[in-house]
Amino acid sequence: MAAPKSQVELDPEGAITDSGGSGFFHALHRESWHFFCSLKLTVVVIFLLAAGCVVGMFFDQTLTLEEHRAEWSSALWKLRLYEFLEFHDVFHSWWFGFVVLLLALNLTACSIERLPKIWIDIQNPIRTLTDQQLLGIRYMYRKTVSAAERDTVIDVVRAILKAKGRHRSEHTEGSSFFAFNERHRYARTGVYLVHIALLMIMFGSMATTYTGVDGMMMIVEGSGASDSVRVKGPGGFTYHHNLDFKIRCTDFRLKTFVDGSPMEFESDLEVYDPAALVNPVMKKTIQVNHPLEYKGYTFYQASYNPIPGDQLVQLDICKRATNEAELVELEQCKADARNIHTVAIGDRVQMPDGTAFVPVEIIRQYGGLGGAVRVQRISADGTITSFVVFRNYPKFDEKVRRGRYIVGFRGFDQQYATGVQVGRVPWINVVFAGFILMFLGMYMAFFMSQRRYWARLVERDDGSFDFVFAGAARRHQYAFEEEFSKVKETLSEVFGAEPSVKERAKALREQRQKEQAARAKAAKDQDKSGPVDD
Amino acid sequence: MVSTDWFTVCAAGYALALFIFIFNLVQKKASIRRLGTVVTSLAFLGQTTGMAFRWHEAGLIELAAVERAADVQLEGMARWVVYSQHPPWSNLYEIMVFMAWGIILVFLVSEVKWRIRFAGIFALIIALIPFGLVSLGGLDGTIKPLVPALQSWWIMIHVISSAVGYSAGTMGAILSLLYLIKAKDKLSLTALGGGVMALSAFLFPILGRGTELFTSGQYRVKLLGYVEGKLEPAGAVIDGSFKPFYVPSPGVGILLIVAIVICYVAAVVLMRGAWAKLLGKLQQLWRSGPPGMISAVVVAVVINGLLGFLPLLGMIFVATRGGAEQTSVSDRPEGLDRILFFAAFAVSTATLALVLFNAMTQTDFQLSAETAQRLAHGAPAPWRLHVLSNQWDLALFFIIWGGQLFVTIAILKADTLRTMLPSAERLDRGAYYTILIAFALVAVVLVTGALWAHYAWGRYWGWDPKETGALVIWLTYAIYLHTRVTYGWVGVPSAVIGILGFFVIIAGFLGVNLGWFADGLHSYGSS
Repeated sequence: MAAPKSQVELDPEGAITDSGGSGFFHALHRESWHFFCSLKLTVVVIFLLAAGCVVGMFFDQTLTLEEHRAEWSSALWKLRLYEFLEFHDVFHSWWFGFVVLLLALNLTACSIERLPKIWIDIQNPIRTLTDQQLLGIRYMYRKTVSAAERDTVIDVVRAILKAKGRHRSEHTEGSSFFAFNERHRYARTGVYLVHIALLMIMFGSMATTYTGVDGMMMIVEGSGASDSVRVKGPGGFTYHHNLDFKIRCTDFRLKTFVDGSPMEFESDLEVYDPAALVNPVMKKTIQVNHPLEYKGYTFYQASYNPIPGDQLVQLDICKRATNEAELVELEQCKADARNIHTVAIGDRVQMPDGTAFVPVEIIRQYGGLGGAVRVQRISADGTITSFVVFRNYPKFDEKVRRGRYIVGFRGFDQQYATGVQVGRVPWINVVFAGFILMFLGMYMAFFMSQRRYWARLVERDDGSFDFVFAGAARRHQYAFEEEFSKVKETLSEVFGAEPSVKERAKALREQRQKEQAARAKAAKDQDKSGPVDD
Repeated sequence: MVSTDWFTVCAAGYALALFIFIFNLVQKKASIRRLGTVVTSLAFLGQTTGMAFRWHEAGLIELAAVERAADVQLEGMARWVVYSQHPPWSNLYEIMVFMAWGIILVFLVSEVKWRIRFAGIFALIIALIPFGLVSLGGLDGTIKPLVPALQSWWIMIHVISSAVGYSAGTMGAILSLLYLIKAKDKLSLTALGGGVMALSAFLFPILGRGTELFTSGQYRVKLLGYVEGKLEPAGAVIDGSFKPFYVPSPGVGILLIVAIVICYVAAVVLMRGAWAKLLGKLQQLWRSGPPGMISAVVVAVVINGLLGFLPLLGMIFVATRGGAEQTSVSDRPEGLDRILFFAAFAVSTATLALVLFNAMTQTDFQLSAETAQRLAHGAPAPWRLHVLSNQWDLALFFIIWGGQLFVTIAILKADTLRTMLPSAERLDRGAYYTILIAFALVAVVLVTGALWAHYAWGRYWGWDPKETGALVIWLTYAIYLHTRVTYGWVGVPSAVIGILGFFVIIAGFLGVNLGWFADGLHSYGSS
C-alpha cells in the first residue's frame, strides 16, 4: 500500500517496516514478509476461497468417492484430473487447505505487523501536529489571530474539546499552545479483533476435525448396548470408532401428525460405563434439539428406521359392563395403559378366568374398513371361536359381539432403530468464543470510529498567532464532516470566517518570498564571512 | 388462510405505491413522493400485522396438531411454547414474503436517511415478485406443522437477519447501478451498456442450460408436476436415477443463441475502453520483468477463465483497432455502438417474449400417455403449469431484461435521469453503508446458523450447499470491503462488485433451491 507520505506520518500503521540488513536471506525474509503482510494477498485469497466454495457446491459432497468415480469415468483425463483435485471432498482437499492456510498466514502476519504499532499509537497518540502532518488532514480550520485573542482561543478550544472525548490533553511550549482529544481510540483494534476471531474459528475447526468425532449410531430399541460409531472419514470412506462406554436404547417413540408426517420422535437412552460404579450410569430421553451428553460426547436424535420383521399388535381387553357400576369400571379400564397388551401374532393373552385371546392374522385392508386383526378366543374348556376387530372402529366389538370381554385393536407397534448422531467437538468453545469476538470486533470496526481533534496555537515572527483546529476520523467520513462543520461554524462565529483560498495563496506567496529573501541574505552573509575565517 | 388474503391486499398497496412513484417521475412534486412513501409505509405496516396474525394462525394450528396427536390439553408455559414456536418464515412462501418485507424495510430506512429517487421503484418491483409468484400458485401458502429440526429459537434470528441482510445487499446493488448511471465523468453509458450485455451473455447460457443449448439448439423447461397436491419436479426413475421431464419451448433455442452471440459482440465492442485499460495493465506487467510476465499470464488466464473468452476477444479487438488511443468512446453509444446495443436489447426482448408466448399458448405437453396421466392428477391449466415450472428461470430472465431496459432508458433519457438522481457521492455512500450492513448481517446469519446446526444436528458447519452459499455471499462482501480499503476501489469498481453481489445472493440463496447445485439440508423449498 503506497500511501502518501503525509498520511504515513499521521498513521504509521499503514507502513511496512524493513528489517534492515542486506544479502540474500535478508532480502528473502523481507520479500516474503511483505508478501504475507500485503492486503492484496488477502483479496486474492478471499477470492480463491469463494471460488473453491462454489466448486464444492457444484459437486455433491455427500456422495462417496466410488459414486463420483462412476460419474467421472467417462474420460480418463477427467477421472485423473478430478481425483487429483479431490472434487469428491473439496473442503478437505489439499488445495482448499492450502488456500485456508494462506489466509491464516496472511491474517497472522498482518496482525503481527500492524497490531503492536496500533497499540503503541493508541497509547501514545500524536498530540501535536507538525506542518508535514497537517498536509494529510482533510478537516481543518486555520486562521491567524492576534496576540490579544490568545486566551479567548484557549478558552474556546477547551470548551469545544471537552465534549469531544475522554482522552484530553494539552500543553504549552513557551507561548505556543497545543491541545488534543480523541474518542473511540480502541475502535481501531476492531478489525484486528475480527481477524483474530477468524483465526480462532479456523484453528478451532481444524483442531476439531483432527481430534473430534462425527458419526452415526443405529441402535435397535430394546436390544443390547452398543459402542460402535460409524464415522465418515476422509475420502468418503467409513470406519468404526469405538467408544469406551456403551449406549442402549430401551424405547423409541414416534408421534405423528394426523397426516402421518413425523411430529416428534424421542429415544430413551442408557449409558453403561465399565469405569462407573453403578450402571446404567446415566438415563435420558433424547429428542431433536435435546441431546444427551456424556464424557465429552454428545448424542443427538437425528433419524429413525423401522425394523422389518414381525409386527406386534396392541390389543386392549376389558370386562364387559352389565350394570352402572361396572360401566365406570369399564371406562377406567379403557383409560389404563396397563390393559393394552402388545403381542406378536400367535402369542396368547391369558385372562384371570382362564379365557385366552390369540391374535392370529393381520388384515391390512378389511374390505375398505381399514386395518384389522383376526383374534381367536380360547375359553377355559378349550372351545375356540374366532372374530375380527377393527382399528378404525373401537366400539365394534363392544356393540356387535357378545361375551365376557371386550377386545379392542389399538394399532401396530412397529419396532424401530433410532439414529443417533454422535459428536465430540473438543474445541467448540474456541470456535464459539471466536464468534463472540468477531461480533465485538465488527461492532467496534463498523459502528465506532476513532475521531481525533487537534488544536494548535503557534506564535509567528510578527507577534500574531497561527491558530489551527483540525480533526480526523477513521471511518464514517460523512458523519464526521457534518460534525466538524458544526465546530467550524462555532469557530467562525467567534473568530470570523477562514481566509479564502485566494487570500491564503497570497499569504503563502508572501511567506515564500520572505523565506527566499532570508535564504539569499544568509547565503550572502556566509559569502562575506567565508574569507574572514581563512 | 386469512393472512394470505391479507398479504394480497398489502401487495396491492405496494403496487399502488409503485404506480405513484413512477408517476412522480413525470410529475415531480414532493407531495406525490411523500404520498408514495406513506402508501408504502401503510402497506408495510399492514404486512407486519399480517405476519403477526399469521404467527397467531400457525400457533393455533400447531396447538391443534399437538393436542390432537398427543390427546392432551396444553396449559400455561407448555401451551405458550407450542403456540409461539412457528414463526411466519418457515417455508419458501413465507420466506419470500418475508424477503419482500425486508426489502421494503431497508428501502424505508434509506428513504428517511438518503431520499434517493428510483430506489423505491426498484425495491417495490423486487418486493412484488414473490407476491406475483404466490398469486400464480407457484408457492404453497398453507401452514403445516413444523418439522422437528425447525423447532428452535435460533431460526428467529437466523431468518430475520438473512431477510434483512440479503435485502440490504439487494438495495446496495440497486444503489450501485444508480451510481454507475450518475457517475458521468467516471463511466460512460456506452461502457455500462457493454457491461449489462456482458452480464446477459454470461447469464443467458446458464438459463439455457449451457452446452445442451448449443448442441441441441433447443431451450427446454424442466417440468413440475403435482405429486399428492404438491408441486414437485416431474420425472421418472430410469436406470436407478431420477430423470426429470423436459418440455421443449419451440423457437426459443435459436433466438437465445442469437441473443447470446449479439450480446457477446456488443459487450466486446462497447466495453473497449475497459479492454484497452486491461491490455495496458497487462503490457505494463509484461514489461516489468520475468515475475511480471508470469503474473500477467496468470491474471489473463484467470480473467478469461472467469468471464469466458470475453476479455480475450475484447483485447484482441482493441489491439487490432490500434490500441488505447483508438478506443475513446463517447458517453452515449453512437453509430455502430448504438445499433449493436439496441440490436442486442431487441433480440433479448424477443427471446423473453417468445418464452412467455410459448408458455401462455402451450396446450400440449407432448409427453408419454403415462406421464400425462401422472400429471393430470390435480394439475392446473397447461399454460399455468408451464409458467410455474419455469418460474425461477423467468424471474431471472426478467431481472436481466429489466437491467437492460433500465440501461436503455438511461441511454435514451440520460440527462433527465441524471438530474433526477442525487449526487454520485451520496449514491456511493448509500451503497457502501447498505453493503456494510449486509456484510454484518450475513455474518449473523452464518453464526446463528452454525449455533442452530450445532444444537440440532451436532455439527456447526457441514459444508452444506446452502451454508456454503451464505459463506460465498459473505466472502463477496468481504472482497468489496477489502478492495475499497486496499486498492481504494471507491466508485466504479466497487459499484460493479456491489451489483455482482446481487447475483451472488441469487445464486447462493436461491440457486440451491433451483437445483443448480447439489441438494442440501435446507429443503424447505424443494420445488
